Amino acid sequence: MNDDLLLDVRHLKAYFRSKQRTVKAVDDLSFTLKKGEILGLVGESGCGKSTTTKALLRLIGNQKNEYLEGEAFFEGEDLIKKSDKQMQTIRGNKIGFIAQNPMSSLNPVFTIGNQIAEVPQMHQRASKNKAWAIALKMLQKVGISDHESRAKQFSHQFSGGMKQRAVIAMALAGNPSLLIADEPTTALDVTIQAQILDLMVKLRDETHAGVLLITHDLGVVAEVCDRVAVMYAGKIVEQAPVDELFHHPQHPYTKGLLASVPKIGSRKKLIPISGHPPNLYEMQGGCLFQERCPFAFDRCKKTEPPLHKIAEHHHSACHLSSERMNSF
Amino acid sequence: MNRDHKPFIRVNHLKKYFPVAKNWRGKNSQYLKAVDDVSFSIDEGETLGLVGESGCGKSTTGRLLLHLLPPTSGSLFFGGQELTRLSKHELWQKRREMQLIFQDPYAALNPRMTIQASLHEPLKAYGEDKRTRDATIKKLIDAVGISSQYLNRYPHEFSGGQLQRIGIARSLALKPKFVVADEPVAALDMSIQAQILNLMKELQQEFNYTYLFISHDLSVIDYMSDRIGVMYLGKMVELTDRDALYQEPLHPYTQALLSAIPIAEPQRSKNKIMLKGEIPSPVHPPSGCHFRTRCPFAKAICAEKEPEWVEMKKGHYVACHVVQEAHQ
Repeated sequence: MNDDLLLDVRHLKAYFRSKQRTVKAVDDLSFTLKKGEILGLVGESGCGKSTTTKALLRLIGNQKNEYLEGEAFFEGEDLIKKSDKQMQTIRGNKIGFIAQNPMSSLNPVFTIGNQIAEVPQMHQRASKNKAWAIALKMLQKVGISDHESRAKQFSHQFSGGMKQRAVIAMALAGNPSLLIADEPTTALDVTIQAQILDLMVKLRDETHAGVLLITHDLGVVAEVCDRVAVMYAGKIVEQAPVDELFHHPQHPYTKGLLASVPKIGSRKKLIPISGHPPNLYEMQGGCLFQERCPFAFDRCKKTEPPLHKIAEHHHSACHLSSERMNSF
Repeated sequence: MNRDHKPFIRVNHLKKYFPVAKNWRGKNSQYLKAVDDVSFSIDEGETLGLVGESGCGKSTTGRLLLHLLPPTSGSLFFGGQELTRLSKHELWQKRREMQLIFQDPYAALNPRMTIQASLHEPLKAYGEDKRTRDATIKKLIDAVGISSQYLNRYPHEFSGGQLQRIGIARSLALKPKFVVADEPVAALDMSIQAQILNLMKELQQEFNYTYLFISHDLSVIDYMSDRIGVMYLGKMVELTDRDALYQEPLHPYTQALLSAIPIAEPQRSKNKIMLKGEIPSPVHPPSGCHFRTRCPFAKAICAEKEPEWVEMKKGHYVACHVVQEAHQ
């Protein structure tokens, strides 16, 4: 096995069942993440990005109506097979999680320092004093000025950007080798977003942790990610290194997304993707994108395209791109 | 662009202060200066973009222009008439000519009314008879790309993009001349955003609407606007043509804002101007120039005197001591 490999997800499925129907939120997802790499998971709302992170953290799969299948090897061990108790020692320790909304990930009745110190107290059995020292160090690391007095404050005394910094400090306090960030900058203003993204890249360089970055913003992806996986309706439709994806997109959905985002300085008319994403419980056979795809032909209706290798490190799930490969 | 420059909206020294605290006598002692001395004009058929971070006063400006909020001071001309001097009845008649497109399409429509009923409302309010109403609605719904057989459905049966189209149709039902669009695409997915932006542009070309387009997203603003105003803490700091703004931004805040936006193009080398700190509280803004606490070029004079609103080049207004000094 490759030593650099940190996370290896194979055929991950996460379904939600109700009496009438089953929603296939994540359907047969496979990807890998190396140490020190930032992998962007992009897609529109409802495509299963967040469900993927929740499945990896095993925050879903314990209820009767939730169904989880597949393998997710993290440092050689399968997360899906772990018991709840085992997961508790991994979550927040080896895997750090940054949620979208920093306002709701902090407890309003504990001081910020207390909440960060809880991590080493829980996972490393650190003494109170030692844990507090770690909390202070973390706050300093994420660039909170005057960190010693700030650690004694509550979340309402922090601004939005500072709260997100505190959440990052908390996620890093266990010294994780994998960091999962679910839309970490969506709730922030652009100038603050630039600061936070800069901080995340810097911390990645320092700690050499792998980062799984969930976002809907192609700009953020282009700026910080090494590799990108584009999701649509619970599946990865294209996966490539960031330059390759932006300059030679293969899947019609990726192409459509890139053409529908306004770019500064370019006056070209936007070409929107027609229609809207499919209902995840009314899926017909064949390619899930066929209804909105300008190039769809009969084969797209019949068989679902598998994720095809079209170049080194570049995969696309489209009959057209695989056909183009075969004709060469 | 070939347009005769006829200012349709003209705003002079517009101010809106919200009282936030009272002294012991029960008099208002502290104000939040949401909009502080803003002057600009919008030509007929033009789109003016307003951009800025959260809390900078862009939405309040939009509301003031529609006279949904009475200004604290300043004058506001709408097609040659002073809005603040109109009687209630006159204002009600003027309201026909101005409309608002909302950010959240789910919240903008009554969930217990069919969209037909929602679309009838504005026309009913202004006493149109049933037959004209039906005809207008049919035309409108066609124009925004929704099939008229859906008219009897309820909002929950539509997707976000479709609801925003219906919201736009309702705003345009009374054939307004001036439309304020307050973050109309912020709640929508990327592939749907482009559809709505293109729709708004097409409708403008057809009916010669004057738009005030409010957004925090500079690339969306760039795509939609003829001229752009940048706001910071209740003040307008720069106003100019969109080309001039992107090619030679003068104000340090505009420069930082432009460099902070993540661009969907990897490898593009950018010298990022990273702003330090966060936006100060608008209740206690810094003395002198509001931006000086985060400005990399701040001088002594910036703390003492508020910069004036000066036309540096034709149609290019800036409020900054440093820029103004450099040009002398």
